[in-house]
Amino acid sequence: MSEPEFEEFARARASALYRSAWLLCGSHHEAEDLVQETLAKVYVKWQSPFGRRIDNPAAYAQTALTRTFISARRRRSSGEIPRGELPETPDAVSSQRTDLSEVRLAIVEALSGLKPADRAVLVLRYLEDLSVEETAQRMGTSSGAVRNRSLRALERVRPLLDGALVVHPSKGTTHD
Amino acid sequence: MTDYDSRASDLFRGATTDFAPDVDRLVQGGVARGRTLRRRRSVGTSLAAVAVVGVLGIAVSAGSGFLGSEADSSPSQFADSPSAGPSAGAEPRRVDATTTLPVDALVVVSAEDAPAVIGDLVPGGTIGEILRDAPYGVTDERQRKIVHFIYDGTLATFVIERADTLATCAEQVDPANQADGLPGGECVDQGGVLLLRSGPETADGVTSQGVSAFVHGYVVSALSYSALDGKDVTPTAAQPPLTMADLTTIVTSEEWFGR
Repeated sequence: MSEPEFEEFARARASALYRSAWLLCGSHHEAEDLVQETLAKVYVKWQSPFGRRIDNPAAYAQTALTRTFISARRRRSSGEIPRGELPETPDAVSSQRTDLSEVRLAIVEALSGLKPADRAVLVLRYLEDLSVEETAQRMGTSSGAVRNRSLRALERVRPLLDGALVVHPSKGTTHD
Repeated sequence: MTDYDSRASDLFRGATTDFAPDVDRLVQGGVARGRTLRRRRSVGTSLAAVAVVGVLGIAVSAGSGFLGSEADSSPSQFADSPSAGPSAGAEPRRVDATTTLPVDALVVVSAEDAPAVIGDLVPGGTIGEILRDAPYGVTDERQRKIVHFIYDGTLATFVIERADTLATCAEQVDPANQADGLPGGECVDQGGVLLLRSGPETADGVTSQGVSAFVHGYVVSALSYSALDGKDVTPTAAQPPLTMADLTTIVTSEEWFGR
């Protein structure tokens, strides 16, 4: 596959990858870094004269993104320290966070206490809308492990969900 | 799908759906890193067995000494104010260099790949071994790259660091900050890019010269020596093999930032 074809693919997928990357990393700078690193790996695979053709480039890129993130966090010695306590209570959340940027901040706070693989499960299941089985396949783990991680991760963001925070990108947020 | 599942999907999508990343930058950076990655995998290493002799003075301190003493690191936010690249043939002129630009780019070349990139930028020389053992070593952090390697049988050093962690160009050349009380080089503006040019100067029988460019919020530096080591060794060349023009080409290249 040619380089122009790769660039066309990368342009089409960059925004979606970036959204996933932001949820994984919690910062725009790190998200950009992760997306570039991911695209670089896809590029090498794409250009490889000896490699097999990528059947589903979008899925391949998403898998590369997830695994690159988990691998990088594993290597990072000064990584985040999982928190013992949950974020703010639903009442506090719903009464104080009223615009989109604050919702994002709340999400970042909630996800920051999760292990990288738990964050990845959340992103694949709820942003990418993959099934448990598909998520397990992408992460190279079992369906049972994905279910466990999913439950644990959802518990972390439950205050935001219990607060019935509804996000309307064009208008900010409201509460049910 | 449970009600919680639906709410989680709505929350994540709603919070990210209006993101508008700089797609050009993502793609160009990805392609640039991909090229580097591919080159690293395909080129292999043609390394000469070189014994590192003695303890060097200048080279190991290139990460900070040559560039100036480090200040406290204070991460800044990404800014969208690209700095201009140097225009070919522009005459350098002295400038008052007391400020640094904000970071507006990612470094896309790893420290390990820098010698190969330098080989492409200034063809004709022979890229040799990367010096990994003490007192040299390789630093390959996201915003800090330091690599010492052999170029045409002599020591060469390449460094990228965030400018806001270092002294300004003016502070670095200030005679008051030098051990010998002499200017530590000169700050010049070449085609819109601030350069710190140092040397050639001879110490302990070894001649060295270097150029630093203040670009994209980073200081990109390259140094060349006339010997295999930076101090107390017999020179292997009459002059450092990388000329000031070569060093300027290296440090002002946009290749480091995937542009």
